[in-house]
Amino acid sequence: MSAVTTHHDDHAHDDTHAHELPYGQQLRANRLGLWLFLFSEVFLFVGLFAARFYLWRDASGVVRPELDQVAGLIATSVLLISSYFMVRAEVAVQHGEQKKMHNSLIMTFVMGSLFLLSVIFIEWGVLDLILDNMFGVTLFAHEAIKPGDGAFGAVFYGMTGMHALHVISGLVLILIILANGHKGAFTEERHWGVEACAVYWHYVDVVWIFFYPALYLIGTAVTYHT
Amino acid sequence: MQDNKRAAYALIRNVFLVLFVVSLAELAVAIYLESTVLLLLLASAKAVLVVYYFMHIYRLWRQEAH
Repeated sequence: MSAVTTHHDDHAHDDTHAHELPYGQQLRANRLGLWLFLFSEVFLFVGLFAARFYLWRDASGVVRPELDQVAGLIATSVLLISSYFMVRAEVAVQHGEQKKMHNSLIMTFVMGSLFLLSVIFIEWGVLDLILDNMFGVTLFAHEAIKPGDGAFGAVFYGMTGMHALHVISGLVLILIILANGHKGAFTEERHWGVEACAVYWHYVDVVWIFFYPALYLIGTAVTYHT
Repeated sequence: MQDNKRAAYALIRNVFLVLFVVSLAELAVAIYLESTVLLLLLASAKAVLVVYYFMHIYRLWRQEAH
């Protein structure tokens, strides 16, 4: 009976693994799938980018709302630093440095969270809104742009909101990778999870690389309040 | 092996520094030159660096040994 059971189990085992690809082949398929997904997302962000140049113009040419430049530069720098720590985590896992990978992922998460908070509280003016309502004071010289500020508000919140949504999903991915890394799921040879998370995070950075000049730098600054 | 590791860390650090300097250059271009084309070129250069050195796009065409 024991022999029959073992024989049966062997068949079950063979059936289970019959459709599995060799790891190298599976890795190539995973990479291609991820890049195709990211390529599909390009259309969304290019649409927003194009809307910015179509809607933010007047008789004098391309314009932009007068935004807080310091906030923009800080947010950009923080996201860039987070990208550095993410690629550091990937290099660390490739060389078997689990602790360094773990620490780098935590730093990426912290920097990503700071970026998100800077978007919500500074760029969207939530901090000044809270302070103004509670204490009657404001911290920033520029009054934050509002969703109701015509085409300026619509495009600004469309671009920063959609980007922030991707930052949030990236942060969730980092938490998953941290939890799996803690369980020892990644080795020097096999760490697709870390690689996929890193590629996604850098993609979010690439989007901001184009959004930052589009929102803050290109065109003549004009007042936007309706 | 140790040299490879050191080189890998040095590479990502150098790329990060270049990205940071180009970001500051973007701000300077916006203030002093106000050139849309130059700003888009600088952004594209940054994106190429990230896609190649951080996202490793070349791995798409690489055959893995294991």
